[in-house]
Amino acid sequence: MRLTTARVLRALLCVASVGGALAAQIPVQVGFQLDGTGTRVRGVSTNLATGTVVGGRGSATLGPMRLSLFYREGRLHDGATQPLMVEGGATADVQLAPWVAVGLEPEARAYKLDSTTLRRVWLAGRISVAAPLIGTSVRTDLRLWRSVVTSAAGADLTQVAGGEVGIAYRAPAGWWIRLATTFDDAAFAGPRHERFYGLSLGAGLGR
Amino acid sequence: MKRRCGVVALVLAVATPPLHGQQALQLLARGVEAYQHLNLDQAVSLLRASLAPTGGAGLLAGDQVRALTYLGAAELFRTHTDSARAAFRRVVALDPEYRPDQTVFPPQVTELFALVRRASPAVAVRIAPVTRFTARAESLHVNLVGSDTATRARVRVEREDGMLVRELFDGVVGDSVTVGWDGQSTGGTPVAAGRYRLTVTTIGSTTSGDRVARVPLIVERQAQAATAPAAPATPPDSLLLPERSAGGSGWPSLAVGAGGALAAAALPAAINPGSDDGHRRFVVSVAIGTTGLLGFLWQRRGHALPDNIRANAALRQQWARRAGARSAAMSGDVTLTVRAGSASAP
Repeated sequence: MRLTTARVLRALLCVASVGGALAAQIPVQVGFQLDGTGTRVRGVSTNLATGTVVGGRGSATLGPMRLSLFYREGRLHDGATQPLMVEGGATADVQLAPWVAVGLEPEARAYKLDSTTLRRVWLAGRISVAAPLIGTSVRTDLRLWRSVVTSAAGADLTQVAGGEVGIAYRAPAGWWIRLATTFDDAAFAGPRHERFYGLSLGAGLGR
Repeated sequence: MKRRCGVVALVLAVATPPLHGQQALQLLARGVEAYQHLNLDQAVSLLRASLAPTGGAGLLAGDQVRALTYLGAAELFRTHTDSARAAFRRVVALDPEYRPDQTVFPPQVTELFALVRRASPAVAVRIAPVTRFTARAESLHVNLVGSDTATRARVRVEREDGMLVRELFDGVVGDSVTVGWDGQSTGGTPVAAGRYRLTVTTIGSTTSGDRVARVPLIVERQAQAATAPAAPATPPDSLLLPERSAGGSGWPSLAVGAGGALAAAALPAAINPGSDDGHRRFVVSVAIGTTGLLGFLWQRRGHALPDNIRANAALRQQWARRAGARSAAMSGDVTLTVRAGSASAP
């Protein structure tokens, strides 16, 4: 767990320093987020693996463009093994309207088991929609993505599709909290699937 | 007959007061005559005697200047240069504008006078005996005349006890300068009725030192009735933004909440039918649905608009400030009557 925390902090520091330097050069709006996700993964090992992964996200918004880097990591438990889940990626979105954005998301996810590491890499296209619930401070959002390119070492990963639904409260002071549920399904050749379920609670600053 | 005339002359001499400085004037005339006949010692004695009387028996200012100029010239030719300078310094103090007539006095005299004038700067203060003006809008004018183009002076209005009321001028007077006083103190309010003084300090050289002339001022104050209606302290409603939204349709919130709740609940099944596993996502589903319902109710009953409330508060403050300033300006419309006395000798 100490290793996990150190990595997350290192990644966040990296994002913060890059974001800060960028913000000083060009008129970008930056945002940072920390979150914890209660995770359930089925298909990696024989049993359902559960655990908590923690991570962070750094974002930079320049006009309608929004770039994010994210990283999360956590130890799962399936009763027999304790796979370490590590995930990282980037997103690039274009805000088409105040309520809809489209983008690309290269992402890598790895499950480190005792004897082997399962790596999945994909590039997904994504669409995000958001709408206010109460005024402009409480909003709900929905994201859907589907892979266009996939790669998995030693396995024939054919497609990854997923989605996320969340609700967020943004305070006038600029901080916000968000509760979300995530699901994605990695389909391999044949009947094999890896399914990721997450319930995450995060807090952030900025955009 | 001779006896009768003598009696009349004696009666007249006793019964009628002497004319203003008549004897001093006679002494002055005799002194000037002695100077012109180069009886310098006699001229000095006569001229000093003409200057000795004070008050009603003394010379008027113009005659004093004339007597002192002849006295200075006589002393100069007696090679009593210090005495000549002293006489000329008194001339400069009495009348900073005065210059000896070059057709009457030789260059030695006019040159020494010029030297003394430069070394002993003085400022003459001219002010109308009575001035009536509206405080702030108009001014009391004080004309300063310098003895030399480089003469510097500082002009202040002070209370009788010397406390500063307002500094009006500090700089080079040049040939002359007119200084205005709008009747206000340093704090920006019209002064109260009472006795004040105008203090004109001529900045002298290190040897001559500063000269201070004081003009007593008596200020009378009359308040003017307000001619315009008082400004309202609050803005009209037409300028204010609504601070609470009208109860409107909350259906969009309800629809979004229902849609979000449904999306969260059906997410796994929508991505991949048959992949439902666990119910924790319903936490999000319920949260979104409940919030949508709250949003529906919140919008139906109307709600406070913080941005508008802040904007209105700023507008109200602005109006209150303006009304206060206008009210202060109107209450400050007072007419001052300033009676100026004669300047004390510097």
